[in-house]
Amino acid sequence: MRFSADTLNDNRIVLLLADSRKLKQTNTAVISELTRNGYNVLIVSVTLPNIVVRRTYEAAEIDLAKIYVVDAVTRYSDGPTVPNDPHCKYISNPGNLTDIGIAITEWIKPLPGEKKCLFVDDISTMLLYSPSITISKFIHFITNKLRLFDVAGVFLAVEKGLDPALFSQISTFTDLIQTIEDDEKQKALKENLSAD
Amino acid sequence: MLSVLLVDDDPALLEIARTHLAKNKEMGVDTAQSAAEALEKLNVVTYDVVVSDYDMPITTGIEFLKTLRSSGNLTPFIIFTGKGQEQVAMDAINNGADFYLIRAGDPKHEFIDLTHKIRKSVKQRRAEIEIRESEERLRKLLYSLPSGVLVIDAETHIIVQANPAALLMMGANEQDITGNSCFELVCPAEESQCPITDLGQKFESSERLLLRNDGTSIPVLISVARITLGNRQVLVETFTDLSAQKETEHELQKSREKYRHLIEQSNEAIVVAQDGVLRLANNKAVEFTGYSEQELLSMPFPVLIHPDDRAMVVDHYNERVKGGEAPSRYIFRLQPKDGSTRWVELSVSVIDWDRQPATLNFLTDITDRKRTEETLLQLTDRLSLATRAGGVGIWEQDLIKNTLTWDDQMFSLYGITREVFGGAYETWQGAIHPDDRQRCDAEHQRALRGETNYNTEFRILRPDGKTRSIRALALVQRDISGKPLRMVGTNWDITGQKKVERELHESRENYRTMVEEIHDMIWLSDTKGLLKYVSPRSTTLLGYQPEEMIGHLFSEFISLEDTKSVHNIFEKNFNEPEELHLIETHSLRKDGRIIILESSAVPYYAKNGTLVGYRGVSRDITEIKKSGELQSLLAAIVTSSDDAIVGEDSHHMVTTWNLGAERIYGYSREEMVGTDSYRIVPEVEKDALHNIIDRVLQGEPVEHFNTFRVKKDGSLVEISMSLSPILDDHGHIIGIAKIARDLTKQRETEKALLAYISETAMRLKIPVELIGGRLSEIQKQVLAGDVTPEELHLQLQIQVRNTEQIVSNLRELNMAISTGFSTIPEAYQDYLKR
Repeated sequence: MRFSADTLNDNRIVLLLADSRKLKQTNTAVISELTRNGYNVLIVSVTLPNIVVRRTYEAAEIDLAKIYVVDAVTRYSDGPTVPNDPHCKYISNPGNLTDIGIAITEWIKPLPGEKKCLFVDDISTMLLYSPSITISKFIHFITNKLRLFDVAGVFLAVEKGLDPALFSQISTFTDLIQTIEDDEKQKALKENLSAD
Repeated sequence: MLSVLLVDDDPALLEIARTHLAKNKEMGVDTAQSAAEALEKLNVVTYDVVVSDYDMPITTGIEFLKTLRSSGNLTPFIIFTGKGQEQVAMDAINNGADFYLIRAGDPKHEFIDLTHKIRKSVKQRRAEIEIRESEERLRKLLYSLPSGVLVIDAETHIIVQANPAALLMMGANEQDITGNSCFELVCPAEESQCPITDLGQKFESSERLLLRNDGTSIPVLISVARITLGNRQVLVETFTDLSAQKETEHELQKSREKYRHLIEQSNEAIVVAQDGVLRLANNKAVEFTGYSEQELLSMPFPVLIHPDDRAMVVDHYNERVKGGEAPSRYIFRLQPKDGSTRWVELSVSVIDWDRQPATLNFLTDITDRKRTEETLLQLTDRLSLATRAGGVGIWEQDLIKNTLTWDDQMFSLYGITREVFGGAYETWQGAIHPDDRQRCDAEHQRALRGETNYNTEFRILRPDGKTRSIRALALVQRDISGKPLRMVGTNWDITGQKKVERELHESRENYRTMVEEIHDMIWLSDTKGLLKYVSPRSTTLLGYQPEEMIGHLFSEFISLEDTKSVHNIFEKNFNEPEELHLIETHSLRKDGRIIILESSAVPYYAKNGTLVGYRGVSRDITEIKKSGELQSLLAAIVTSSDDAIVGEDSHHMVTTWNLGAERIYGYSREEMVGTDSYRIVPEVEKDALHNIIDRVLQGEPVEHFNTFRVKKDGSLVEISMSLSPILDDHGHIIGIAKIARDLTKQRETEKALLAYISETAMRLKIPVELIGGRLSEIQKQVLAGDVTPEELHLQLQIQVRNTEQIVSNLRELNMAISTGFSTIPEAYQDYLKR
């Protein structure tokens, strides 16, 4: 199943689960879908540096004017940063949830008629830097903020990468849990169905 | 018209005179030719005037006049004669003639003169009659007046007339009064000071003292007025006797004083209430209320009434004043000035007070009476309660009226209704058990004769068929001659007591049998241990007959090594008596064998509190002692075990409860032993446990199993339980032993391990997969030439950082494991901490 921006009309906060090998691909597809549907998107990136994010999106013909990146890995990896970049906020490391939260809070207030969506890439990687209980509290905090300002949210995680307790908690904060099937799986599924 | 009787012996003259006198129709004239004829006519007819000749043949005019006047006839009388003698004229006037006319001139003029005289005499006579009648009326009036009247000459102050009332008041007759000065009798102090004659007043009215003829005086109200009587000035002095009035006033004053005294000295508070305030309050009212009289008369009277009774009293007052119905006597509470409470009984009536309705209230202080009543009520209640509580019925036999009276409890005791009872002695007799009836009646009669006190027991047959035992006591009241007047007594049910007595007797028999048949030896000793009784079991236990032991010291049957200690025990207890607990002694049987006796004893005392000796029991515990050591070992194991070891009988009642059970379940041994072991089993586990226990009781082997129990604090504890049967000496299952191991720590360890594995998987396994995936993507980018060297470096650096973080996380988890679980061997802990 592919992600559709229409999903956000009824379900404002979605947990997307994808295969660990297809995270980048899913990321690009979701951002492309959101921007095409008029969303300004804040990407919290804990996997790719801002520079790679932008080049990847540019290659996918995504309108970069609608993109704002909170980059939590460039500094941590001693990568180059652009001072006073109006489209990017650099955070010291992926475990610095406080600064990430502040960056989201600063961005979250929408202008009248503006469609906004937060995209977190991804929760599974964030678990590398913070205990599951901390991640649970962070997501609870962020989803409350989103609901307060009626901003949509998409949280990406590795399919089967969350332990049952954390998965249960996050599912209570979100409106919908959607698993992204990769093309190969879908293709195989269709072939099986036609064979039957 | 005037009626005239003409009397003359000369008919001609009579006719002439008639003609002249009647011609103007003023007069009607009758005639008579002699005095005798005239007197006859006068007896029948009343004439206004008689005109008579003087010189008549048989009776002269003068004689005729005398006869007429002597008969009381005062008709005007005129002598009309030809004789002109002066002596005759004098006689005529002196004998009551009104006029004397002489016929000596012109007849015309003579008859004119006669007519004139007739008119004049009639007029004069009529005036005289009127005066006389007036005087008579005045006299009657004067004489009929109740007030005394004195007529006094105004000039001389001489009393000229006194009416009978005045004479009566003065105690005198008219001669004593008339002719005397009024100053002497009426106004002695006013001589020359008479208000009328000397001071010029027209009228005087005042109270004086009237001097009586006997020297006493009476109070009178005197009114004096000056009037003209005839041609002289007189004082008419009227006086009214004030004696009665004064007496009445005096009596009234005395009565008022008396009533005032009565009111003030009354033991009741007396108040008059009108328009919501008090108009009168006596001393007692002041004393009752503590307010002064002035305060009482100036405040609304409801203030004096206790708030709880105020509305009721005011309602009664208003209703009564309106003329409605209200109780004339009732009880309420006053609230005196000091705030205390006084009970009063009010007797009230409506009176006129200053021509307005008011209430006259008599208040009697009944505070003490109320207290007494309350006390009496309490005592009565208490007595009633006591008799009811004690089931005591009270009866009274009136020996004069031959009636028997029962209270409610008596009816309850006998199960008889009032209607059936009817107050007859025979009814009571009929209720007594036939076997006791004659004896009862005889005892009753003996008591009445004074031979014995009435104090007996008997049985009654109730209508419901039940037999009850009754205890009865009574006293006989007699007159001074010793004749019984009445008998008052009590009955109470002693059926229960009788039953207890029977049971006690049976119990004593049972105990005696038990003592003699029990396997232990029962004994009694004095304070020194000298045996006074030994039960027959001594034969089996020590080989001695009881008779062989009685009279000997208890210590004589003890082996030598214990003799001294036993002796010391009795010595010590003589000074400080106390229970002798389970003394173990080696005792010497008659056959020389040594057995171990376990003895215990309690001291017993005489009524005066002195120690009499000991009651003891001894048993052979030789066999028990042998197995005791093994039991002690097992007991120590059970006691010291960390596992809960619980014994219960076949009815699930807990019989043993070790320290491990106390630790795991939280209940102490005292709380659990003797109670249902299922109280700690959760509801959902009970059926399963029943099945398992049934299997155990049937001898089936049962594997240990995990289950839950409810701790004292309400929480659940998971345990591993094994069950095994408890067998008696004959191999019968008599209970179950439950051994439970607390799985809490084991479960905590498992939980932590699960958390560790889960967290490890989440924070290590998935990130490793992510890194792998991303390195694959980077590889693809490199192969496709789709990445700059800087980007490649940066992306690889990110994955290096991720890898370092994985290692750091792994170390952190190792630390947590190694420090969190003491059960991990030290070598492994060191290894994990590296």
